[in-house]
Amino acid sequence: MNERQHCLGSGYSWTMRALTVMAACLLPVLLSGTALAGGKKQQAGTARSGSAAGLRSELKRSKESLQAAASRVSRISEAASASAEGEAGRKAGAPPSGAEEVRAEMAELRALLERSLAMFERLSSRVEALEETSAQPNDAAPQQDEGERIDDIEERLEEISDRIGSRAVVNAFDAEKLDIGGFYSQSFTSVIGDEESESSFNQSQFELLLRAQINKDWSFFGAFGFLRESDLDFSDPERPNFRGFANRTPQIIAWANYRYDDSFQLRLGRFVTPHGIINIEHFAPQLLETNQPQFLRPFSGATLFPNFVSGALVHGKAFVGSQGDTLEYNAYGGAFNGGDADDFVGGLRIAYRNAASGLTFGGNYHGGRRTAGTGPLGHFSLVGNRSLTTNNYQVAGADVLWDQGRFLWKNEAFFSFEDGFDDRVAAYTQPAIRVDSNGKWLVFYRYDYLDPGQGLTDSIEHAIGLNFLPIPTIRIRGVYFYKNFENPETEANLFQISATFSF
Amino acid sequence: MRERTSQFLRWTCLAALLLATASLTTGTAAAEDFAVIVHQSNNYADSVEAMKQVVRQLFLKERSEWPNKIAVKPFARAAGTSEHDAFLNGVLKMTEADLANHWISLKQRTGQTAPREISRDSLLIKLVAKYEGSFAVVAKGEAEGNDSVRVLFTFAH
Repeated sequence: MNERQHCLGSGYSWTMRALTVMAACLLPVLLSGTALAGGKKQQAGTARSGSAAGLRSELKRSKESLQAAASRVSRISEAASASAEGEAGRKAGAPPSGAEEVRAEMAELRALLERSLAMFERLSSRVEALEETSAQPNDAAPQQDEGERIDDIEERLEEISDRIGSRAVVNAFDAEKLDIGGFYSQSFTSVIGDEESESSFNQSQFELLLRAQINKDWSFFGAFGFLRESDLDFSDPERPNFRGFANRTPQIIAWANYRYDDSFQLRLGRFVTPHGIINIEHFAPQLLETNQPQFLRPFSGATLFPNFVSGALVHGKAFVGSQGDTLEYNAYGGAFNGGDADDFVGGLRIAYRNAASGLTFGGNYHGGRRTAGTGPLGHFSLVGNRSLTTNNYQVAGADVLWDQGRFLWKNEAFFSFEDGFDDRVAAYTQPAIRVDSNGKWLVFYRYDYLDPGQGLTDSIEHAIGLNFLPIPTIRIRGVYFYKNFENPETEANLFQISATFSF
Repeated sequence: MRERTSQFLRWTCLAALLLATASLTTGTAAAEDFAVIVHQSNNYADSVEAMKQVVRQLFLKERSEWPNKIAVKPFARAAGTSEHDAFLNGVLKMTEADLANHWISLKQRTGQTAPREISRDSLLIKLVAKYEGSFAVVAKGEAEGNDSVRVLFTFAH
């Protein structure tokens, strides 16, 4: 080997060694970087796992090619050393055997190393990119999801803030949950009698409803009225008139309820007497006309049975079959607030609802004692709050409700058996049709008969009306009544417009 | 005469096309599936029709516990969403007006109110996974493959 070749062989050998050492140092770093990126990527999802596998494969190939290069460099280096040693023993000037071959292989190795270095550059860039991505907390999809959730929460906060502003939020003293609502109802009535006619904005009713969930099993519900009313007086049917306005603040309902399960619950306090259909519905937002049938007038009266009872009520329901049918019962005992304090009453109601047909059949029994008292006739009523007779009595009744699709048909009939006095009879039928599919418009008719006993006249009342609900919580009504009295034989016509707003 | 026949045929074809389009549209809507999901530990099971009736009664607060005696906690979807509409038609079998009237009636008689509305599927699934007696309706795709809740039944719009 000549001087130049020796220098070349020696320089080449050291260069290759240096490159081999560099490759040996770089590979673990690159591989550990890939493993780190791959580990974090596993958390981020499976979408990029294919990319990581590809990277590993490329690095493996690079490693193998570098190892091959290093091995060849070692072999050449050894060959060059041997050649140099042999040359020293010979005379200078003669060309070494295979020198051209060595040069060609060295050029090939340089090219191979350059390619390997280029590949390392690419791999390094990709590893850096992966490390940057994996350093972020989540991938793009969850970030977007989080963003939407934050938007939702901010919107919700804005809504709450808008509702309460800087005011304090109402807290229940001890209840787990406290709900407050109510309704307001206003009526305008025109009455045309045989001898006299009158009109008035005769009823303003504001009722506050309050429910507290005391714990899992106990709850409280109350309804408190603030009423300003001018009662329509039919004591002289030929000359009906409005009495002066009266302000009333009755405690309408106040009960505590214990729930053992759906089949057994106990209610204590003042509650709506669970008979019939309309007395249970009771409140104006539900009623097609605000006055209720004749036998339920006057408000808080007891023409056949009391509208309300203060006492104890056991109630519950059983679920029958798999079609949604229910069997419901109510049994109660207590006092009628409108009579003497010791006028004890009790009753039972059993109702079966067939979900498929929308039919509900109810059977009712009620019994007790009424004590005579004095007082005017009630609003729009032939009887007053107090009975004119003192006696024991028993009431039996039946009701049928059909509520299916556009049809809503209510029917009730009650008979009272009065000890020593005239029996009392009441019945009505009230078919209604939901005119449109949204239930905004309803038309109804009611035939309503009452024989109130006590020596009072019978009355037949026809009512035909229209309900409009612009939104479900607002009910506007227009109703025409035709009343027919037996004694004295006369008639009256009434027009009533009312609106109820519940909240 | 021939012109009339041709006109008649044109109108017939147009009507048939419209009918076909309408039936295709209806078919697409009916294919949209929804699921009622419950807490993973709620093991209540029955025929689909019976479960629908129970869910209906529970949602309307006509009953307060599952047949397996777990106290119920229903969640509602906002009115106007596809989940709400599907639940209304497929399970409650009521109109929007009927449902509104039901809640007004219940509020007046007992003070009870409608279930709380939740708008996001992800939050709804978390809540159902959290409360033992809870249930809600979600798009079937949201419930599938989610181990934190159990699909009680699926139904079409």
